[in-house]
Amino acid sequence: MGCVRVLSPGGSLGYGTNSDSLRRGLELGLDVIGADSGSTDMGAYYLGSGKAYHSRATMKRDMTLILKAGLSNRLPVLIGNAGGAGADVHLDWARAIIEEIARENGMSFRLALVRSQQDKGYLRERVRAGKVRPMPGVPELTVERLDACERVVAQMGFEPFIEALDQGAQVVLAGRACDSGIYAAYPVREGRDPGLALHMGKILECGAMSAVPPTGRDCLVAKVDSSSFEILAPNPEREVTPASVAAHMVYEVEHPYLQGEPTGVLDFSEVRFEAASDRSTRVSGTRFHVHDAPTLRFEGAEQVGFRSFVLGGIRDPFLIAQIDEYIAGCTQQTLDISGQDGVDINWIVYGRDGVMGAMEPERDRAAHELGVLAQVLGPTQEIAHDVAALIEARMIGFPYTGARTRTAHVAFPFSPLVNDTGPVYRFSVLHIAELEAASDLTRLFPIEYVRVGAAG
Amino acid sequence: MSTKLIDLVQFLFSKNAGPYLVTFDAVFDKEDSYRRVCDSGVFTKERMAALFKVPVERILSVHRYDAGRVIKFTMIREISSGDFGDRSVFGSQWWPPLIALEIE
Repeated sequence: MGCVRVLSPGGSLGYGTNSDSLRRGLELGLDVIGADSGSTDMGAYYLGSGKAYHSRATMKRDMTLILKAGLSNRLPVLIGNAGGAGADVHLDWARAIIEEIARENGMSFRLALVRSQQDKGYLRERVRAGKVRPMPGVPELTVERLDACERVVAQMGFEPFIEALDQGAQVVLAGRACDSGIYAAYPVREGRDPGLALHMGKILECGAMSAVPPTGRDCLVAKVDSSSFEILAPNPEREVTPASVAAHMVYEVEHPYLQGEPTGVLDFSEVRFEAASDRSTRVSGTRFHVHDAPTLRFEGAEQVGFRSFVLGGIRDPFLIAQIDEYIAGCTQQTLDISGQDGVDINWIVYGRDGVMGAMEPERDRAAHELGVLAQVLGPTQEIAHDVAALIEARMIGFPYTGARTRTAHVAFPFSPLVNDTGPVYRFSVLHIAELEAASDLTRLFPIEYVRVGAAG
Repeated sequence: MSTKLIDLVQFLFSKNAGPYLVTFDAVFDKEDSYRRVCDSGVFTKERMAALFKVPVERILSVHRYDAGRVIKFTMIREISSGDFGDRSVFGSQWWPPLIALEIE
């Protein structure tokens, strides 16, 4: 059984991949290009609002690079987590970019669009059947919370990618997907061990993060054979060492050697990492414990209100000495005047405990200059804005004890002073559902096939 | 003689492990340093809860991974990533209290 060679252009398509490394990767003789383009890492805003996470211009650049590389070398190109959050609106955003690239470059190919957005009926039924459990730290899911969500997606495994390849797709654009499955799909279809292929996918999904020096903005290549895989970085300035790959296995995960996938749990406890050359590493010994019933992770974003904020700087040492009283006083006066219920006011004081809040051990050592962010969450943008405007007006002239100045307490960097950021979302659904049937692994992700570019 | 954790590690960092968890990693390039910190027993739920001034129930787990020479612990966030009041969408920049952790 020969090697299956998979290239990842980076940790997130649309961040700007390294075109020189891509060219060097192609020279290795590839079988498939996989590209992860999203996550939940940037918060629920993108799933909730329907906005794309990446810049359109950079996404078009990166997609152009990998589509040209794939089509001119007859390699399938598999893109997952389209648009960042992977709902239908994100998939449509990414599809429009692909069609534009094809038009401008005279490309023609069969494109599979794999949807991951879910109507809430299936998950509602699973909740009622008691087949849904929260991810650690997440509250139990109720039907009310589910119904309050703006959009719900499920994270597909490799199965829909394989289905699309079986149907002759040259390019697959998929919604929300397990990162590992994007890269594992082709090797699994070629008969490689699913656990090994998924383990490989877990490494490729971060680009060259497992190399030395590490970065998510560069390419990584895997060669998968029957019982092991080799990881190498096409960029000659990076090495993949046994230590760098091993340390990467724990990145962004709670458990160092047990990691859940739709059809089972990956077990890295017996994995061996060995130098395959002076610049590459061979990985073997991955185990995969198959679930009794397959599962899928569902994600849903619920709107919690609208935000407005005021940002200012304070240099006055007498005010810095009174900052807690000042903040409490500004808040109280604002609440007294606005008479608004259901408004949440939150202050972040940079230069004291802005990053860590109550976890900050050195809170008593305030800097000589503070950045003060006052943010308001309101039921409408107008209410949030009005309350933030009241805070701004209080901040500028609030009388504090020991003042040696008369007014204008805050250096505001912006006009407008009050800035509206739109709706705020939270992941109310971040839950694992046990599926009714194994066929749901593909049934919940309908595929549409389209011919992109000129016919023939 | 005790020393500070920063003098024994290659990297320290914090990062989301999903939107509701943040995971803290201490990565070692020297086997003897890794063993010394493991043997010191400082990475416990109780010690990490005290260091970060959070209830011990919010420390979900502490793990070591010998193959990667990594010690890690995972905290349940007070506010999930990007929700109103969150201070670090990626869970980044929360590790510096580990710098001065005394290791026997």
